[in-house]
Amino acid sequence: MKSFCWFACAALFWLPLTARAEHARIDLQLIHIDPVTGADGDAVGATADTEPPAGGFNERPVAKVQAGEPLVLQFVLTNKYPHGVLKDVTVRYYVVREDKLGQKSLPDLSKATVTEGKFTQNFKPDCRVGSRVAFKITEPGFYLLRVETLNTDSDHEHFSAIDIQVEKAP
Amino acid sequence: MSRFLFGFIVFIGATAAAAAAEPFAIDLEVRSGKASQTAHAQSAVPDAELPKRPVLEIKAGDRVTVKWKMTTTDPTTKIENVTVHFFAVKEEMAGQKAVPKLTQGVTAESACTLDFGPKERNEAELTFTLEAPGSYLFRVETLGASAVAVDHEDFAAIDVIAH
Repeated sequence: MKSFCWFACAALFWLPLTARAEHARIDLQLIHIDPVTGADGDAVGATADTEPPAGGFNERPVAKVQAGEPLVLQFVLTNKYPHGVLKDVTVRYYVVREDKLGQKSLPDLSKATVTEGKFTQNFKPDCRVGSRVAFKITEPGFYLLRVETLNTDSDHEHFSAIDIQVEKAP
Repeated sequence: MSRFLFGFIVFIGATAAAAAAEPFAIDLEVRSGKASQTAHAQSAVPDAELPKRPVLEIKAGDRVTVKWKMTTTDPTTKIENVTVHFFAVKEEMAGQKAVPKLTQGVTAESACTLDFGPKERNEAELTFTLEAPGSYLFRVETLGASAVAVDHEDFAAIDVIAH
């Protein structure tokens, strides 16, 4: 009885988390670019997380880069919500300065971003939104690369994020 | 009938015919600071005679913002499984006919898949920096529409020259 009870409680706890994870699949990458050939180099990747709680459940990966080096952000977001069309969903991405690595609160997006974008459309099951954007960060410091859903008419949204630690070029 | 009225009727007829010929309505805008250019849907039929692309001149290193809105023009047709594809890629010269290969020189590229019903739209706004001087082709286009419901793809394009 006790073990059944424990299993039931565990199932009740985990099922909502599992259900949350099913609504969007996100493959986000920050890619170093060879400045001579323009070819893709090493990459740091992140997958989908959910909010709330603020900042999600997962620890963000950290990419170390040098100021001024060529970089590419790349993501593919796949809608895995199977119960019909979601109206007017926005997928937004940005690279913005943050105070410290891993901070839970979002930086002020009204200040200038390094690069940003958003797409708005109806989301049918398995539809995809993806982007690949070249950019450079010229000022050393900490930055947040994040892609997120907005307006999914749900009690949570999905996102994926990578912290970028920009060091002064030698 | 006056020549003006005759011309007006011909113009309206030609405009309506042009609008009806394109399955998608596209509003594309690229701006940098106070300067901007806009373009609208054109047919991607091979060998189609196309008007000159608008040109936006900026400084290399300036941020540019590209916005588009795409809808269907036929309120009765649903066009399923369309990909809306955008790219900003270096080209050899502004106005060139050939679309550059996207294997190099791409500053930004995106793709979205959706069904276009009568009231459905795809909207986007992207901001990025053109670091290197040169000519760039900014183009948003449909892919896959001609495979299902219409006889050709549509696109809108603007040349951006970074000095």
